[in-house]
Amino acid sequence: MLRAMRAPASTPRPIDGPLVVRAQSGERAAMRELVRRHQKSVGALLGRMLRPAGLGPLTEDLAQETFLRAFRALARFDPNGPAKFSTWLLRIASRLAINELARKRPERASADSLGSASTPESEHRRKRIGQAIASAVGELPPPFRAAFLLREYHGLDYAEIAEMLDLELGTVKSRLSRARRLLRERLEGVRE
Amino acid sequence: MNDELERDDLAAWEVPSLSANFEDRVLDALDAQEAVEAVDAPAPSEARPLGPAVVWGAVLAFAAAAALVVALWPRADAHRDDAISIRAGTSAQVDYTPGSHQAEQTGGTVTYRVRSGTPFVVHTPAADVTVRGTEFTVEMLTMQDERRRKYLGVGALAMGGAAVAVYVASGDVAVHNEHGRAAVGAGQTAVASEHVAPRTEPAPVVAAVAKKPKPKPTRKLTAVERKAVQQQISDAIAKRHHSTAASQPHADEEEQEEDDEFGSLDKKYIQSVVSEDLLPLVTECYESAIEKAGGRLNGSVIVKFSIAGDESVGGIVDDVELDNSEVKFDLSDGKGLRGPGSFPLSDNPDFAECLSESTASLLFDPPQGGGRVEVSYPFIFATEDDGPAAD
Repeated sequence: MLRAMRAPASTPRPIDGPLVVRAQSGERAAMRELVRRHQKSVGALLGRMLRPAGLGPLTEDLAQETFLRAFRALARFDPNGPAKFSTWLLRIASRLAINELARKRPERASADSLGSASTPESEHRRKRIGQAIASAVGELPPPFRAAFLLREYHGLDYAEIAEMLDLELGTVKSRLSRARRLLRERLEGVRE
Repeated sequence: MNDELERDDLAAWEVPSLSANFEDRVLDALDAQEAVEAVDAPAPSEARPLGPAVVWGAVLAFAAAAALVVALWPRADAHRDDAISIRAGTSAQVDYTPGSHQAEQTGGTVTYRVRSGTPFVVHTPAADVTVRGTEFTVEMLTMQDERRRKYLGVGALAMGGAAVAVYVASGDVAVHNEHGRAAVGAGQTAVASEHVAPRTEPAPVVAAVAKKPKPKPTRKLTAVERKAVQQQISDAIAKRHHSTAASQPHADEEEQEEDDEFGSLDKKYIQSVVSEDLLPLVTECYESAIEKAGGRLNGSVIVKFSIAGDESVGGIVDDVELDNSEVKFDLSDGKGLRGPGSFPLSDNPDFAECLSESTASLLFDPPQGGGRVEVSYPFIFATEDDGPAAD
C-alpha cells in the first residue's frame, strides 16, 4: 500500500472558517490570507497534473483562475458545512486541470529532466525517482491523475475523491491500485 | 523489493512553487475583474466566439510589399487566446507578452481581442483599460491630434499630457484613471487624458476604426458572382483600352500598354483591406490546416494577386498565385499528413485552396486610372514556440 503524504498529526492545521466568513464580506486581507495559506497546495496539485503533459507553464495561470473562481463563488460556500475550504479549492483546481488536459493538443515532453552526470549520486537517484513518478502519473488519464495526486499528495480519502471528481468509488480504487502497480514497476527499474 | 512507496519517494517529485507575488497577482486580477463586472454584462446571446488567437503586424516593413506576421497558438492554451494586432502600416509602442493578461501601451493604435475569462488590462499613461472577453482598440492621441481639443476640451489641451481613445467593437470595457471611470459598450468610445476623467462618446473616435469607410461591400462573392464581376471589369477595361488607343493613334505602343496595365491604389489602403478582410480568412485557413495536421505549421507563403478594376464597376482580385510556398509541417502525433520535415504548400492543397479562394474573394476600390495593380503579400505562419511574440 502506498503511504500518502498526509500532514503529520502534530502539524497544527489553521482553521479557515473565520477567514472565509471575512472573505465573504469582501475583505481583501482575508482573501489574501486564504491565498497565502493554500497557494502551495493548489500550485503543487496543478503542477503535478500539468507538468507530465508539458503544460507546466500553465500552472500559475490555472492557480490564479482557481482562486478567482473560488472567490467568485464564495458566497455559496458554507464555512460551517462538511466541505473544507482547502478541499473545495482542490476540487476547483482538479477540474480546471482535467479540462485543460482534455483539450486536444500535441503532448509535449515533460519539462522535468534528469539530473546531470555531475549531480551527486543521492540527488541523482532522487531525481530519477521523481522522474519515474512523474512519468507514471503522466500516463494516467486526467481524472485518475487527479485522483492519484489527491490521494497520495493531498491525503484525501477515496470517497471524497470519488465525489469530488464524479467518479465511481470502485473505479477510483481499482484505477489507483493499477497506478500504484505501474509506479512500483517504474521505481523498481530506478532502484536496480 | 520494498513494496511500499515511501513518503520520501513521493517527495522526490518536486514541482516549482508559484511566484513570490502570487497573492498580489490574484488580488489584482480580482480587482480588475470586479472593475469590469461593475459594467453591465452583455446578455449571453450577445457573447460570440472571437476566433483563434492571432498576433500579427508586430513589425511591418512596407516597401514593395508589406508583411503580416501571423502566429497561431493551439486553442488549448487558454492564456494565449488573447490577441493583439497593430494596425498595418502604423507603428505602436506596446509591451505585451502572451499569457500575461496585460499590456502596456504608450503610443500608436492597437486592437486587442480578449478571450472570456481572466481579466486583461491595458495600462496607458492616460488611463487603464480593463476587460473580460471583448474586442477593442486603444489609440494614443498625439499632442497635435485635433481630437484632443474636440473630445477633451481646451482646458485639457492646455494641460497636455498623455491622452487615449478606446473604441469598443464588442463586449464591455472599463476605462479608469485617478480622476474617474467610464463604462464603454460596443460601438462606443471612451476618451481620457492624464488630467481628465474618462468620458464616453457614442460614436467611434479612434481613427483606425472610424476613418476607413468601405467603398464597396465586402461580403464574400460566390464564384458565379465573382466571375460575372470579373467579366464586367474585363469588358470595361477592354472598352477603355480600345477608346484610348483610338484617340491616341500616335502614342508609343509599349508605353501605352504600360499605362493601361498599372493603375494605382494607395498601399495603406491595400494593407487595410488585407488586414481587415483577408487576415481573418487566412487565420481560419491556418487554424483549419493546423487542426487537420494535428501539429505545427510553420513557414511563409507569398500571396501574389492583381487588382483589376474600372471606376464604374469597382475593383476585384483578378488572379491569385501562391509563391515561394514552402511550409514546414512538424507533426508530432502521427495524425497529420507526414512526419517532421519540410514540404511544399502543394502537399496541403486544402490550405492552398483556402488561401487562394480567400484572396480571390476580396473587393477593392478600382485602381485610379483603371488598369491593374500587382500586389505581393507575404504571410508568415508560426505555431507556438516559433511565434514572434511567444518567447
